[in-house]
Amino acid sequence: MKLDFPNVGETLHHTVLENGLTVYLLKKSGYEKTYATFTTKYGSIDRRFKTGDWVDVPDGIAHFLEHKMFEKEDGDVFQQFGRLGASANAFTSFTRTAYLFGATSNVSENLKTLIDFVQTPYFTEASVEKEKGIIGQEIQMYQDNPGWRLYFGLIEAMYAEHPVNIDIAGTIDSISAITADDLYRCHQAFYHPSNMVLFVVGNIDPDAILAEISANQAAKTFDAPLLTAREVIEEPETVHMTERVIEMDVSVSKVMIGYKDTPRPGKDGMKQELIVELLMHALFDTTAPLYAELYAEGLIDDAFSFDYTSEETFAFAVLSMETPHVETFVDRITSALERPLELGSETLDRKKRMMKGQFLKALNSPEFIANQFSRYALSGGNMFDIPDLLDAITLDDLYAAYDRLFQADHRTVCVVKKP
Amino acid sequence: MKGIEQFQQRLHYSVYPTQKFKTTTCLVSFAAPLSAETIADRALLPYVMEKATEAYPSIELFHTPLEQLYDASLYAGASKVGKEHVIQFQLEVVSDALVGEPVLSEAIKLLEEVLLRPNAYDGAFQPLIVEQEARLQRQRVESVYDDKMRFAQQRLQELLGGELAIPSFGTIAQLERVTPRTLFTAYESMIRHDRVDVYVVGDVNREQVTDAFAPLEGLGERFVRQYPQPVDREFQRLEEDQPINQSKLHLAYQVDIDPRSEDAVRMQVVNGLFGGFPHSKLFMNVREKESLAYYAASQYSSLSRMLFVYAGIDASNQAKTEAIIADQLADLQAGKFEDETLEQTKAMLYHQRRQLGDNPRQLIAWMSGSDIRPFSLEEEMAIIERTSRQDVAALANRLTLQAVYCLKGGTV
Repeated sequence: MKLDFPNVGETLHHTVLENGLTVYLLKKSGYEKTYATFTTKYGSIDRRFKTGDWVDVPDGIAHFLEHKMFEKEDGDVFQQFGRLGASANAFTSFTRTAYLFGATSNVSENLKTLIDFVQTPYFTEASVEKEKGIIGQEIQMYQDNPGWRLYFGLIEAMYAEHPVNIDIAGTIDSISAITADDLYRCHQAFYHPSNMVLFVVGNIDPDAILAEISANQAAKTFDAPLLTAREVIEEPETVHMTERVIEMDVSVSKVMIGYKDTPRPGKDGMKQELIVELLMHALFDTTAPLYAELYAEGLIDDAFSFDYTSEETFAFAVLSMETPHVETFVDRITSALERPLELGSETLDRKKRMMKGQFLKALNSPEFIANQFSRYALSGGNMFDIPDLLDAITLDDLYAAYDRLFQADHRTVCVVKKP
Repeated sequence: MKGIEQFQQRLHYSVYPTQKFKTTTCLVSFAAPLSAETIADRALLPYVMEKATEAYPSIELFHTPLEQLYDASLYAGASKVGKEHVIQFQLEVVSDALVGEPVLSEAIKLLEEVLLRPNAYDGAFQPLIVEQEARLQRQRVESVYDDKMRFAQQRLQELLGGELAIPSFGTIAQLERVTPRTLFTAYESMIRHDRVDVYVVGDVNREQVTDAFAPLEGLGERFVRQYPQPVDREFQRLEEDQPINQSKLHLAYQVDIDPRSEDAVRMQVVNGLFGGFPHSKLFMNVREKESLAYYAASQYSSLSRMLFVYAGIDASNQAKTEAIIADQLADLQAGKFEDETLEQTKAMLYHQRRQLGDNPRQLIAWMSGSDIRPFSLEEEMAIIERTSRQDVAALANRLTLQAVYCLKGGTV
């Protein structure tokens, strides 16, 4: 199916293959590079699931599996991509694992390599053991990173039950329990074509690429999907802990203020994400009255940032700052958010233009398109709807989001500071 | 790269007209000789300038019209480039055709306000903004400590001395001497004496660009770009302890190669075999074979004539890791590597070059190096293609280990 999006100047080809694999192809004329992502809806939060019986797996296994997918009986997949002049990579998030390559030549061969290696598990006990040293160093590296510790400290304090409160890579202890059998079990459950999205963007011939992908998939046989359920978490709407202090040897204190939100799935979640982003831009951009006030007092500067995370089963807003005046900063921000919202349509219109501009600019990047489109697609949305969704948002939507999100018992403050 | 137009009015322009992007990207850069005396003022200057102008005298007032122009984004910053200090103002806007409004010309007017009519009176910038930005800059200097990779690299460069050791933002003591007046002096010097270059990538033509930037004609002076000469150094080693989990091992090799020569291009092949890619010797041996590290890589900086190696390891494995790194280099010097690895390295280097044109900012970064680099992208690829095993071995022998720095953890 061919879908035109004239307001963003893109045309998308969309197909669901017989085995359930969702394929998106986007032609970018004039681009040298073709970029492809092969993404499974499987991340660090999927630690208990049903394939016949309920299965529990060690924390960090989705990320561990991502690492081990690159090793095959006949060598390392990085080498195969390298021989074809492509650079490959992968990442694991709370909810997704993505494998990807960028290539300026041999696109068909690289695409075949990508699909085949992700669909061909090969694990041995020896190679699993070897990986524990490498991932152990990765975990140690993040342990020394104050920004990472702050972010996970915040999430741990916000969430009582939801496994988003566990580090994506797990711990040195939890990964020590991982076996080759565990990896096979997770691959079988989550790497079925019906749980995955393939996105290819570049100066491609969409019909020819689709024919190659279809032939590749038709030549393989897949069992029926095994996964019948994922654990449903009962997470309170309010935060687990309101404060958290992490002591580290840092030069300047770092603080994050988190507000826990109610997640919404699918298209509604996409709309909610845009509403909260518009709201946060209106409240916290350099053009906001609060920013000017705090800037004059030396309480806010370019070190300040904000972000909204929205997935099917969790959502939260984060304000982040580095300052020696943590208490004053937190007090000023939180008390401002306890007052009623004052926001006019002029500001909303300007923020809509701004976000539309940001979105259009991001479409220069094949990486952004493939990664973000896949993220929305795996939860039932279409990224190219963003301009229309933005247009439909009203001031009332922002007022409602403000009252829902910025409640005192939805707030956690996490600080990293010197002992 | 084919399709780049370079020409000189009084300013020097590099323009790449293309319709493939959703944006038009402009960059105005100001280059001056690197000096430890002026760096604190110059490094702070762009952060102060981008905040406000005479006509829009606060952050709020200046950023509002930028937001209104579909988020016209203005990024200002400064960096050390070899023997020069470069201040850059980058403007990125949605292309006019996509939104049906003349966004570009309006945004360039705002950029020109920043450059020509700053928020300054009687020879001094507005004190409030200077005070806040200087405070933040001091915090930036101090917070290098919190990023252990950056911290270790900074300490390594201090061991090497010369331009490499000059701190990018200046020292805390220098920053404390910056005032609204010294900053304005730095501004005046910048617009009078710096070499000014303009880069544009997007759906534009030459006339449009020269018309839009006409108000900047007359700024600056043209002078030939300076780059570092070889330095005689003693080998240095330093180890320091911090309460961290992972130790950071950083090595510096001096590269006895002129940055303008064909050998500098071939050296990219050596670096690619050594530690530039996931198929490289460092990654394959330090990480994949010995499981000593999550990252182990090398980076060649032709302009500073250095090749750096980095690995994050357990403190107890330092000697072993250093030995493996030395073995990998010895293999390269002896020409010991697979044909296939050489071909793979070349394929990756072609790929890196071919994809440059897909990203406006990377394209501009490439264009801004082109007056030091005498080769086009196509010529570079041809040089890479001709690089032989013998070339690699000979060039690997021109690497001399100059400094080893290890930030040691494990005392937690």
